[in-house]
Amino acid sequence: MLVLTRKVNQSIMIGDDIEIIVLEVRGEQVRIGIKAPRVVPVHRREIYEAIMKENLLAAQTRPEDVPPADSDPEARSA
Amino acid sequence: MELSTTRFGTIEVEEEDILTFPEGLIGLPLLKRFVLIQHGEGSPFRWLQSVEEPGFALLLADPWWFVGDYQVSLSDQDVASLGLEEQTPKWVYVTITIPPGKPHAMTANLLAPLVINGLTRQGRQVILDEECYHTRHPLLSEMWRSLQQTQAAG
Repeated sequence: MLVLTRKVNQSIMIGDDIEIIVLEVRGEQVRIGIKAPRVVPVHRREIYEAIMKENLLAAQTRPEDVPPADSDPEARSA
Repeated sequence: MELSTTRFGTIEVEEEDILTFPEGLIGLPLLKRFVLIQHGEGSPFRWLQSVEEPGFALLLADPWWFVGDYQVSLSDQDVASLGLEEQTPKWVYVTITIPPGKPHAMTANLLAPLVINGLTRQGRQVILDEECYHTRHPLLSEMWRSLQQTQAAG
């Protein structure tokens, strides 16, 4: 892993069109600005982890726990 | 072709019904080919059964059945990667988690729906706006909220 030291308002370029800027450092928190083309998805790592966890949980759901169609309120009123 | 599955036994699937997720699902990059299995007649639930792994089937549902005002706005990258144009039919499903024995506690991941191009059968799990959605919406209370909003609007 490449490790760089930066000060506030200094930035890092990744390729030609992605820029990571350190905006503010306050105690343990760092505010980071990201300039990237709209086609580049940028998300916090926790988001990916939460989605991965939920995918695995959804795959552990048991067929016998899924409500049958006729127990749905909409189907009943139809 | 015949497909053997852990939950549903051996099922007959047509080659053209196979959905391809070129990047897999988030956190599960290795499984790329799936078929959709309806849970029962008239049910909003589907199973996304892996073609490659008989034991892997993810529970999905039609989000609008539960959350009438669900908004899916795709990023440019998602649209490009799915090859979607304005007229392309697209299918959207959300993953559902039901804790064992507790159907009333089921939750839906509204943050990361699965979007499928209905023409190419190519799919992708996308990430929507974190401000609006998260990974564990309790479905029964979402249904209630959406119903009340519809009534208030009507």
